Amino acid sequence: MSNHYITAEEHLPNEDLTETTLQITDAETKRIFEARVRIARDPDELTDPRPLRVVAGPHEDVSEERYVELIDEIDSEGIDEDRLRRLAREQEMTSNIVNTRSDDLKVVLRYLVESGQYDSTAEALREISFQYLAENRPALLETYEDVRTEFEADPLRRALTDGE
Amino acid sequence: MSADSFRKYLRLLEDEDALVSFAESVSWDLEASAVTTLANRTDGEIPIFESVEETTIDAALVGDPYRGPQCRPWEHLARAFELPPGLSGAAYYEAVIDRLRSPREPRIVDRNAAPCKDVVHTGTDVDLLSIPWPYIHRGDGGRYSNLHTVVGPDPKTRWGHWSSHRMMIHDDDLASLLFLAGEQAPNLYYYEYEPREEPMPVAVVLGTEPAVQCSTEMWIPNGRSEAVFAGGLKDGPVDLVPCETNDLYVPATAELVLEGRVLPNERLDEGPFGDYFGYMNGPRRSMPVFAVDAITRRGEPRVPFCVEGTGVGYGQNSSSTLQTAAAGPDATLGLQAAGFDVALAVPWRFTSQTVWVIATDRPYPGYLHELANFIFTTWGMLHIDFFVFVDADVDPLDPRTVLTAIALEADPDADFHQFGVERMPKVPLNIYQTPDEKGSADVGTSKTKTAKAYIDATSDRPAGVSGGDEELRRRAQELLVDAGVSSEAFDLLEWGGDRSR
Amino acid sequence: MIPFAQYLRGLASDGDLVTIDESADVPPDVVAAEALRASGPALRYRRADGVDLASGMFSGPDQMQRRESKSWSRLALGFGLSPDASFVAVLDTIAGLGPSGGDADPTYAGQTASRTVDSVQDLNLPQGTEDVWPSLTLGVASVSSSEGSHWAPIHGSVVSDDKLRVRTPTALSSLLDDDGTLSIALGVPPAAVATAYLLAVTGCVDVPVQACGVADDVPLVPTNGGLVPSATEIVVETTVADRHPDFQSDRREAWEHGVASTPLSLSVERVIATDDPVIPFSPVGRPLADDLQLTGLATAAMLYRRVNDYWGISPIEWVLLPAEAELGICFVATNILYAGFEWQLANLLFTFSSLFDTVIIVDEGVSPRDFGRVLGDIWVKAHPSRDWIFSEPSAPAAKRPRYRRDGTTGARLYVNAAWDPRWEDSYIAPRVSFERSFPVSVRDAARKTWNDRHDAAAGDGD
Repeated sequence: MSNHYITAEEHLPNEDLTETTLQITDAETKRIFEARVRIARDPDELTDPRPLRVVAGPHEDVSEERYVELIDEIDSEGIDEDRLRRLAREQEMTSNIVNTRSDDLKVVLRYLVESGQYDSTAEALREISFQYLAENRPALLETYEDVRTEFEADPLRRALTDGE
Repeated sequence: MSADSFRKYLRLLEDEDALVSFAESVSWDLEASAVTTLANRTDGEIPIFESVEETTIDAALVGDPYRGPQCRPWEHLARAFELPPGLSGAAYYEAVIDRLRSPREPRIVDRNAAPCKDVVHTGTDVDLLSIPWPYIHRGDGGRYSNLHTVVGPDPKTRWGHWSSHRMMIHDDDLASLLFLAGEQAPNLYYYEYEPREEPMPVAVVLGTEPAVQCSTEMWIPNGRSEAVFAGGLKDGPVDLVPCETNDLYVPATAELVLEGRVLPNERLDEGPFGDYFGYMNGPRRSMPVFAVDAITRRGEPRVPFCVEGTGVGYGQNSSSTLQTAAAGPDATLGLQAAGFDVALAVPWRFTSQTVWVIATDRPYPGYLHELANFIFTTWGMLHIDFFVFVDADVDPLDPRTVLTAIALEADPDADFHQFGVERMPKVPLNIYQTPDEKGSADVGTSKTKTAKAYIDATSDRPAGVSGGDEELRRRAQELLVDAGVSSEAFDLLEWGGDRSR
Repeated sequence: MIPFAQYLRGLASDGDLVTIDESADVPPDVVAAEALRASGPALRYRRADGVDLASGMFSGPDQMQRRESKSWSRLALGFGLSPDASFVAVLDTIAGLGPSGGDADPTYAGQTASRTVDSVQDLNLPQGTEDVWPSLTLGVASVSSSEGSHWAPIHGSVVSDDKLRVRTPTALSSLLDDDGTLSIALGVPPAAVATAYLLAVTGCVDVPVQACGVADDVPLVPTNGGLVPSATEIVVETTVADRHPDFQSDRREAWEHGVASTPLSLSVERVIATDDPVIPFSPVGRPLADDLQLTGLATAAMLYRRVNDYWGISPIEWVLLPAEAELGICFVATNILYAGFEWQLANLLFTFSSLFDTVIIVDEGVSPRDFGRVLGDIWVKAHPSRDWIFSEPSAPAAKRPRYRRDGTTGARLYVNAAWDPRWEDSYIAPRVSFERSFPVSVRDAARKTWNDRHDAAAGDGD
């Protein structure tokens, strides 16, 4: 991670602290990439804030300083929708059991269940994982959401599943 | 020795003491560009930076290699094409036009014999940022390549279409291209490939031989390819080699080739950039995405770049020189081929593309109107706003005589045409439209139209007011050289003041 | 005050003057024209017979390329300024040579030209390719009146041993009696010839030189005409033979485009010269000729002073009437005070000078040394639809251009190549330049790298 970033005012969301995906430049290497970010005027409102120069004006020679939190760098090719679709289709035929193969994790999860925070270890793992993904891989979740909606709207598929 | 590769061209410059090599490391971040700006400004040697900081491959940067000397901008290219030294501008134009009249088909060479494929990287090995792209001006939106050839498909010719579009580097395999509708390759992309959701294959080629770079700047009629005119220019076939990842052909001796696709329905930021008007221009616009599938190159590539914006006013850079030395002769030939009685068509030295001066006869009433609007509707469409017409015996390469012609022959009452009528497209890089007027047009071209005007600075008097007996003038020039005055600026003497005639 | 011969020596020591032996087969005006066209040095012609000549000393390199010296650099030297003096300093100096409201304090000195020359033909004045007779150019005529001495430009031909046919401003001729006397001073200090041109273009020939700033600087001496600079190389004293002769001559010095002039026939009474005289001549009618430059500078000086005095504030940075445009276009750099100011300014310039009908306006901050930038900005900063303003076709015809010589009215044009004052600052595109495109640390590093480029051993590239 660099020290300093640059982006254009037109890319900013209307409100501070809103998560958004935008093109951002590493001020030192001049590498430009897409990232999921949060931007604020006050660095204390962000986790691991970096200085961000926001350029504006018809020739972008006007700028102001803010702060940026880089949540997730979008893979340069974006989320592979085709891959998600394929995985979703395959999932229909396979079990949804995921084995973490970790004694330690199982102990911790069971602790959470027995202390009443979750109804089952499956639920605990689901909730915790989705929470993490929502914070760190929101683009992936959003894209999957779109793929799934597409799926459910597919009449042939509905007909087949209804028939089961 | 003719320069049939970029390397040979650099060697030629070195032989002329027109190249200066910097062994100490410079930074690609503004520093290489700043040194080149000084070189451009002082009419000095062309800089080659052998060592660039923070670069993973052994590449050199060359700052404005095509910039020509102030008093004879065509000089280096004349040598590259093995034309006689010391040619006047008009003689150079005549020689180049002569070459262009005999285009030659290119030659395909085997990929094993192509120096541009010494090193090949494809797929995940592609790392655009391994090349020392320069960050050219403070305030640019990113690092840029702007002295290259974009090879694109052309349904009408085998060799594809060559043109010039600046490219902003983003990440390991992504860049954005300034594609302005109205130009051939962008038109193909916006109106054919993108509506079909089909990626358009392209290759961006750097460090090609001078004939290729020159023909890239030329306007070639639809249905012909730049490659054959490059062959005419160098009086020999251009060697081409097929790309690794698409069906295009690229010049085999190039220093660096980026093969890839312009993706449909994708956009990335492009700009701001200090462009040919001589001003920083923004804001960033959303422009088509160039996804790089392969990088092929020589072992230690020499990467040329142009400090754009320094070719205006008194300044010269590669693009202003290429306009004068390549686009000019081509335009002259094109107009003559279209049936116009044009002696010379040249770009006005102080603006790089916006104004052209045409020395012409006027065979019938309305002729200038037809000539101006012919160009405005074809290759002059986006970039040229003005023509100045002068008599056929006025040298349009001598801006003093053009200025005099405007002052003494162009009557504000009768000789200024089409000012004030806003009907024509304009490139959004201009500085005289407000941001609202430019808009953020989807296809790059400015939202608001502009006027396209011409000035009739031809005289109404019969010709015959000559500058005097040429023989007497030549004798006078010889006397001055004998007395110790430098022979450089004398037009009637052979180069070096040889008086053996 | 710098005498003419000393001025030439100064140019030579600066490397800006080359001495050439006169050639039998090439007339001096052709050589002079070629040197000017090539932006070469000033020239001195060493001659076997007659007086030495000099050309190009009041001109300079054309400004269509970046040059170390400017078209006014030589004259700056001739005025006693540094050759790097600013353009405005030169304009101010010229304006200061003119009428000074009676504050001048003339000085007098002995005549440097003490040798009598038998006949004006012995001077062997140059004969141009188109000339029938030898000609004199860049002369300063001096005439006496009850108020003092009056100067004006003069040029003409030597038609016999003792007859001259000349042209001079009508204003000077009207000060003469029918058998009045007139002296022609050749090879005067640059300040004196500039004064003659200034007085002509400002219509102040009737102001005696004793009341002009030039008198503070240039010692004077009486002749049979009027006072001339004491340091004059050659004085030709004449009486008027005919105030309304009917000969036609084609040659016009550049000042005549805007100043009414008249022919005179003169009888030479006496010619005196310094021991080793050298006089200037101009290849009149050729590009960048000395008379053209002098006229351009004198007119610019006059315009600069008049427009800047007009509103009580001084928004104008400079006014330039370049020889490269043959005085047909006036360039002005100004602070655009408010929208519409540019219209006022253009019209004022048209009022003060009848030479041109085209004015180009650029922003203050554009240097007159950067003419190349002006020649670019016209086309990219001025919108072709809104910033090229043509008046109605009812304006009087300008005198310098070759069209509408019959005096039919027509349109005037001004081009506003300045930023629109109504634009927000952020609309104004920053210029690409060494100073603006790179921060100071990068500029310093780049200068060092560039300046040291021949020191370091350059590696072989391949």
